[in-house]
Amino acid sequence: MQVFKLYFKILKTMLGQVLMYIGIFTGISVLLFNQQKNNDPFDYKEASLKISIVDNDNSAASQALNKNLTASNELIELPDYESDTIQDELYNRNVSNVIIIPNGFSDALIKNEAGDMITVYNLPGTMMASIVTNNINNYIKTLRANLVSRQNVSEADMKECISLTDTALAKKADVEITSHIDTKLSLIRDLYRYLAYLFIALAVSSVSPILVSLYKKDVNVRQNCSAIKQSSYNMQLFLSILLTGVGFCSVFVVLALVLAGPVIFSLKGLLYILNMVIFMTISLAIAFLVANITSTINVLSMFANIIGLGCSFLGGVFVPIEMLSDGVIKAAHFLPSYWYIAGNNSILTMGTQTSVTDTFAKLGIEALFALAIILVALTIQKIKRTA
Amino acid sequence: MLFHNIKYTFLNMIRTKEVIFWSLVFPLALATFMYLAFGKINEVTENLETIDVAVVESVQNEMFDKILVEVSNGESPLLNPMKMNIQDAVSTLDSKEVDGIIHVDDTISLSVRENGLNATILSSFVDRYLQNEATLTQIAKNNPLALNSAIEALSDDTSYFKEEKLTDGNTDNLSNYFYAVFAMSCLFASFTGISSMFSIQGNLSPLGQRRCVAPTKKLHVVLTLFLTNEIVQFAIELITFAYMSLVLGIDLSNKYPALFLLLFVASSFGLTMGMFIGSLKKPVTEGAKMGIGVAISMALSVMADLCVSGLMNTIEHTVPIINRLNPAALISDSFYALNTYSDYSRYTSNMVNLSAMTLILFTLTILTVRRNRYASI
Repeated sequence: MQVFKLYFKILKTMLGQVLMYIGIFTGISVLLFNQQKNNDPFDYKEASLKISIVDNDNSAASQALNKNLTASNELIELPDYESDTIQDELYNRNVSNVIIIPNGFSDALIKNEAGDMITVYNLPGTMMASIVTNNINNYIKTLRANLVSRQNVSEADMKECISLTDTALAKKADVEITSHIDTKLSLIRDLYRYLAYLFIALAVSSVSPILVSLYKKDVNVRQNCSAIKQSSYNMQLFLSILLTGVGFCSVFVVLALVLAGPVIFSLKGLLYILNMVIFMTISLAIAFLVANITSTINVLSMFANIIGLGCSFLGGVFVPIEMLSDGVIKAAHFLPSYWYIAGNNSILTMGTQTSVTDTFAKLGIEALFALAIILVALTIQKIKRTA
Repeated sequence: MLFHNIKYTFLNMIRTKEVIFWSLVFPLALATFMYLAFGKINEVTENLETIDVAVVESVQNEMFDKILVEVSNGESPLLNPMKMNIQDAVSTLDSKEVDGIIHVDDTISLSVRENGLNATILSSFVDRYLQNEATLTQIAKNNPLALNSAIEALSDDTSYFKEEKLTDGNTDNLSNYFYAVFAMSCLFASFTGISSMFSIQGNLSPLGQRRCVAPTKKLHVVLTLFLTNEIVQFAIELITFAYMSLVLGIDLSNKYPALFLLLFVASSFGLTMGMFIGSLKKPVTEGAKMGIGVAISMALSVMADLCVSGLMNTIEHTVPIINRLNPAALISDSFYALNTYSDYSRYTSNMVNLSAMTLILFTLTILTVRRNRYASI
């Protein structure tokens, strides 16, 4: 048990760092979880955009347009309407469209001279710009259609036309959402996505330093002449690493249980856990490989950052796979994190959009990654020892 | 003498793997990862592209057909409608080949996979058809003589708005990540600053003991250290700039003199911050001082949008004074100002703040290390 005890004695000295990683992850997860749990994915909702309106006309027509636009969008008040402020707010996406309705808009509308009258500051060519500007045109054209037949439009006429326009525009198409994905399972998938970064960072910053300490030449020589058999030494070390992995995984099973409930023990939930265990094996294999490549503890944080961030940015962890370019996706096939994320996506849609075979194929590829990394690490270890 | 110092500081630096990694390799790697990962985000989430949609016709609707043809023609059409049967439509929607299914029956309805901007554009399109139909039905019922003028009003090409943009500069808010990488890289110059201070303090290193007995003023020693390290650090920032601008093709503006001045002042601040941390009486180990350097640099960079885009903006709307005092935010904002505005007022204000902070830290460093006496080492 000496090796086993020694392993955990060294691990205890790094407990602060480990708890910091887990604490930050848990904090962010709880925030994201609470943010997403109220979204109902089965009800269609029009995208609510942030818009700001300056109504310099303040007429019945401009107020009606204002009311129509703010019914489905969020009205934002800017601190001022200087061009620098508008530019900053557009850049930071605090507002998607700033609409300026000029004085005299209503009169021009009645005379059919309102073309190009409203100024809209936005980011041209974006979906947010298109949705709002189309709504402006649609409202005014419908109002114009109601106004055209009237001569000398009075205030009462305008009110009646606005009312008719509002009635017509209240007509909405039936929209059905087809993707019937379990909300809680979807939340667990999102929760587990970032584990691909966390596990690599945790493994390389906690397990690798222990292995580097144990693989030091003097320690190794001392161990070789001790009474402990090499096989016992290896087995104790293996079991210690295994227990570390099980410990880390258990924390995140409990976290999912607390946040999402017993759905984590459903078939798909258990598959998530299996996928997580496979990725933990990969992370521990990477930690083992790194410990065999370097003998300097200071260098480990460089490895942890480059491997962790590289796999996460390019493997679909920080940015969803569907938003990566085709070239990056092709290259990402060589990263285990890509298969971990693809595996979790497959588990979520298994039985509807993806098959069971497809899901297990992805998990299998991940397992092969773990095996390959361990084999490379063992080969390097053997070469080093022989040398 | 200065050349001699520069030469050996440079050699010392490139032989310290950790410093080279964190000052040069890490920012380059991070920028590369971000560039590869963010390449298509705005294209997918913001840019208006033609939307693929399946059309399932249970009944013939000539008017709707005509509108579909209209919106699917032109240089950048709104929709790419594909007529198919319901089974194929469902399967293409599931496999994400189309973003929605338009069902043409007695009325028009829509199926989408999930909520989002594309779904809103599709539903707005169908809504508009139904709303126009309702408007015309209403007018035909109440005032049939006005029907033709109403049809004309609904279908004329008049646009009632004019879109205006306020800058010809870069409006991609993901650029903030790259600005923040620069901020981080400049603040990481503090590692060099911390290391260099170990070589001039008697209680920290044998070299420091030797240099303490030399008859050289601390101001001269610190100034030489600063200048030699700054030359190397500025060169590192120029390499990072060249890589991001020329190799990755990131739009960082072309106001080169102002950009280079920014990089010089920013790396000077990072270096001075490190020298100040290095000059503090406690902690005494290099590891602990480096820990403080990493923690401060990372915390300031994260607040300048390094990890989460929008954090700096939230701070600006809640406690704006933090952004005026956070050097990483000042660096990031200066890049933004150069890349967005044609005038230099915001950039100048940021540079004045950053230079003042550099000067204050430099003065504090000199005051901390000058005339130190050690009773016992």
